[in-house]
Amino acid sequence: MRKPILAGGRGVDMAQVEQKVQEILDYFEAYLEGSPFRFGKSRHEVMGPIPKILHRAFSGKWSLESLAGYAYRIHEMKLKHSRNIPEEVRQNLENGISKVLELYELLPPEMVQKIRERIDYSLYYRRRKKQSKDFDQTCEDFGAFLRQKYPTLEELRRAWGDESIKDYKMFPTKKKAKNPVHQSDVDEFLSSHREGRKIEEIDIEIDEEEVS
Amino acid sequence: MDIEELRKKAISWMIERGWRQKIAKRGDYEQTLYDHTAIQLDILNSLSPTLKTKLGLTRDELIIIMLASILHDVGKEKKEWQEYIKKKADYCSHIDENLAREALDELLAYMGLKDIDKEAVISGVVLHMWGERTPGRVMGRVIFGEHQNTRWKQLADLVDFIDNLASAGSLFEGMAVLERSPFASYFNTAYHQVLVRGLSTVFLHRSALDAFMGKGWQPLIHYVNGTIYVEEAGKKTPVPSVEDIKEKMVELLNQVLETNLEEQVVGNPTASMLPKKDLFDYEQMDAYLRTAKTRVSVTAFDRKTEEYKKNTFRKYSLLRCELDKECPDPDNCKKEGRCRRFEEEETPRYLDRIGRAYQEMVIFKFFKTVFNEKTYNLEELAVLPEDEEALEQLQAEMEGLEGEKRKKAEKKYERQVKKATRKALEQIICSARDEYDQVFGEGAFDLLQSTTTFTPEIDMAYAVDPYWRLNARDLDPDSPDVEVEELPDDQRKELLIKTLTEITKRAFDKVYEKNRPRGLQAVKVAEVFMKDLLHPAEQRELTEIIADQIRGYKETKLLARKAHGDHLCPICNQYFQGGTNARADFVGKPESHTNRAPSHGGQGYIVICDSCKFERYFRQILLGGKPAQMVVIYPRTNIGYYTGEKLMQHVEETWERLTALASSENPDPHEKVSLSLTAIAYRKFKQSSWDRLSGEELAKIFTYKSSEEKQKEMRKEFAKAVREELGEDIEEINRIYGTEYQDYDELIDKAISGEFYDEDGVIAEARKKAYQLVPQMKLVCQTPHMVLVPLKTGISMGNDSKANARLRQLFVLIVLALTLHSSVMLLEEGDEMLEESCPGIVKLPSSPGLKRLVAKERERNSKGKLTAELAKDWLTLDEALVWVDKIGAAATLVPATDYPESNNLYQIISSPTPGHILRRIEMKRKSSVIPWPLFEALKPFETGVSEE
Repeated sequence: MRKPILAGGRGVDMAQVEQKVQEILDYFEAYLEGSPFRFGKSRHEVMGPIPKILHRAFSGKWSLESLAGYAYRIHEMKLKHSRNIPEEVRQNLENGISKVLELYELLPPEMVQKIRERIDYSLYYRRRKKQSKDFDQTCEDFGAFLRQKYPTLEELRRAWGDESIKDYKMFPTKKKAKNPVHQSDVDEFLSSHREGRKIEEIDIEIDEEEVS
Repeated sequence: MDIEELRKKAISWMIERGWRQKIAKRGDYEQTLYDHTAIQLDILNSLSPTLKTKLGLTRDELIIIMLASILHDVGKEKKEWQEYIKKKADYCSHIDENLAREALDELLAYMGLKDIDKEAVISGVVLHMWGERTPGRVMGRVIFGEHQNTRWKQLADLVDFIDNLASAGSLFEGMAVLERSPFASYFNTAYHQVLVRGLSTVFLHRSALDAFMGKGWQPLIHYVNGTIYVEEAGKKTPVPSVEDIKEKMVELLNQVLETNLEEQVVGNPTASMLPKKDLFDYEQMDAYLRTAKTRVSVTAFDRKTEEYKKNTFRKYSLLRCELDKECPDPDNCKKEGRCRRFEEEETPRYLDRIGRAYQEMVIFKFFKTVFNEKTYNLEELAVLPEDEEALEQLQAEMEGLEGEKRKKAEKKYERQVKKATRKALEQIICSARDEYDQVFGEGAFDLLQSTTTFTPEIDMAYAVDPYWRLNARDLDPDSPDVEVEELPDDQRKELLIKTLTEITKRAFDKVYEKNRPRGLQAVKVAEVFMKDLLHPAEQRELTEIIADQIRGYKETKLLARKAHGDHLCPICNQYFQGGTNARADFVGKPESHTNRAPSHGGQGYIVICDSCKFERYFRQILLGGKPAQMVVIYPRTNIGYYTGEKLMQHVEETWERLTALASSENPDPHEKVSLSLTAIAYRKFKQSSWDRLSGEELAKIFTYKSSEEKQKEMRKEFAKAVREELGEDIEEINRIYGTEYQDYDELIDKAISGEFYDEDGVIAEARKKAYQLVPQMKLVCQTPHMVLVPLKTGISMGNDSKANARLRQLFVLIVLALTLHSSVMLLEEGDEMLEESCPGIVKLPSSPGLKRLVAKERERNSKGKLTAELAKDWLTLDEALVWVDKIGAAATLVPATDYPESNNLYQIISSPTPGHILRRIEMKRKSSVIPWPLFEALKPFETGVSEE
């Protein structure tokens, strides 16, 4: 006779799960903030090694050290100049992995994949939100910079030779800059705006209407 | 400034302090700090005349009580206490003397009051709670209080008494507080209590309230199921009798029944032509027949398929073959399925005849139903006078008998009654037959009665043909001397209506007066509705009620689909005798399976009690159609008299505005009303401060402007109708109407805005039709106990799945609950009304998917286990605030996520994380940059709802 299949597992304290999930998200977010995976177009560029770590950690076969080693390798490959990972960044990554392993122990098997997906998507959301906020802030800052330099929109239009400008708030990119004044304004702004420089490097396709 | 003025000032101070957003009570029921305090001010206002007379309270003392009542729970506005009541933090007391003193100074300045004994106010605040009123604390106030008023303790006791009364969660709890308080000897108390049913309850509350107030009682607190009244002790004001209340009810019902009821009386040819026979008044036959005519369109038959029409012709030829008896070989016709006398080439002519007679068939159908045996309930017919005497004699004989002989006599009596009522019915049918046959020929009535459901070939052969063969002048001396068939269509139909109306009148004039149907009588309905009045009412023995219920329970299953004998109502569970077979016209699926009937028993319609029947009739009469859904607005647990009046005013103002916008009174017909456009409503809701919205502002939330494309389309349709009516010549129009329009466009513009109209109302009618200016809802607002808003069309968008529609409905309910400071629920067929206090502010519309979403959210917020949360279907204030944002934000994200229309809201809301929604948006967009406003829209999902 076939053995009966038992459904329903052990009870789980959802409050505790929630707390652990939040801790994991905080650690990984702090790690990514200090990592080279700050901005990017693709999901990998934004999330770095985290999805792969989660996938392996929730398989129950990987230890803290093996997971951390795996993550460092991906991290190092992304670094352009130095291979040195700051201590704080390391700490956040390892704390995050350790919390993931603790959470795995808490979860009944039927919840593992769902919780992994939740962490993955929640972290992705946080990263994208941060990126969008930075992007929006850069546009705001560039707008403020232009407003200071050209008190009226008319002056800005004249200086850039572009009658289509409707608002100061715009992304500082040279891609659409045909006028040298426009280009030099963007250069001037980016020289003193670190975030803007980083975002500009990503070479994002921008829909101007959405920015304003 | 008088006390009433001070009360109004206090109310605005509380609103400014955000008390409508703070919770004061949560448990079996929920109240905001504003609700809880406002009731106390109302109670004080209602009691103040008695307090002045009996206790000799001065104006200053009343102000002290008012201030202390306002501030007694001021500590509940603190963040820590709000966290505690939401179970997010440990207990902390709400008695905060320092905060009370601070708030008192602010309140005094706000009200412009000076020279008030502040210490007496503070004593009222710190001593109002039993747990904190320790001997030590009282002595502390005695020694260090520095009161100016010598009876500060009595004033503090009054504050405590009023607080306890306001906190009573039910009618009897409130009565108990009043009767047990140390101040009980200063008041006489009374109450009215009803069984909550629906619309009838609204009438019952109004009648009771009017009757009590008419006798001089002062309403103190309203609950969903009743009101507590007070008067000064010593006065001997009588409690109104059941008859007094019934009298008021009759007045109210008469007002409702004054409206034209033909739309309700005349049913549908494909269902029942006379679904609500109680409403039928034989003297209104003319209006009914005219309405019946409109139940099918003139071109309805012409639009049928060729196949259908061909079959109809064949069957018609066979029927004529059978009736005319002129065919040499009818058996052969039957075999062939058509009669050879009717040539194939003549098919179009016959089909044209049937098409032209389509509306007349429905007119006949209504007449037939009126005089059909099955329309009458034998138990409701009066015995004819000649039989009455014999029955009385039998009854007298029966009185003297006992045992077996009496049983036999009883059976004989029953048989005789049945026989007599049968005779009464025969009198109706026979007189109709006589009159009908006299006009249409011998046997015509039986032929008409042999028709069943609406079947063109049968109705043509059995009803219309005999009519068309008559000479028009025989029916009306003013008509031409030709066969009826030759008359123009409209004239022929008019003549038929006139003829049948006269037959009906002559037939019923011959019937025993008591058996002439005279429509619904308010007295009869009032008698039925009064059964729901539990107090004041004739008190029945509990054992008697139980015995009735048991008897009903025993019998009801066998008689479940038979309208006689003992029953338990399948809708309200009340015991009754007789009843009515429900019709699909007023009860959903009355023929479907029910556990109330034997599982393999005979088919038929369920039997419902008169209260449930009239309840449904009145819903339809008031709305002018069958309501799809009904919004029910209750006070949150209880409400004071003055705040109750304010609530009614607020609701009336809102619906007056919404109704005006949705009616032909609206000067801008492009401004529309919709409860289903969630995204637009949410945007407007977020731009407003929900805790202080006026009725007009609330109405605005549910309005929108038609798109330019739609505006053009409607204008085109309207212009076409106007041109058809007035012709093309603008100069001629100007001459007739005395206007000076330059061109047709100007005329149309003026007609759209309602400035140009004709006296016959044709233009207004065309405007109403083109712009759909028909109110889709009706407000039934008589008392604050419950306000009903029946909706003609349910809250949902075109292709919405049930889950999606439920989310839209929940959104509307939350907006109403928040802005009207009430508890709100949506009622559909089969849903139960709330009988006592509301455990939250919004009842979840019944949907397993929605319930699961809410329960999951609660589980994630550690409020309880999923299974326990699934059973709770009311949202608390803070949950409502979360859900209104979630649903509103989901509606905003609909275009970006591009989910299928039927399920878009549900898909977004049930996404496990906002990350899932974000990925969906990214996949649907060309740009990899998600603009910041979209993240703002995603914010409500950050707290997380999961469908895991």
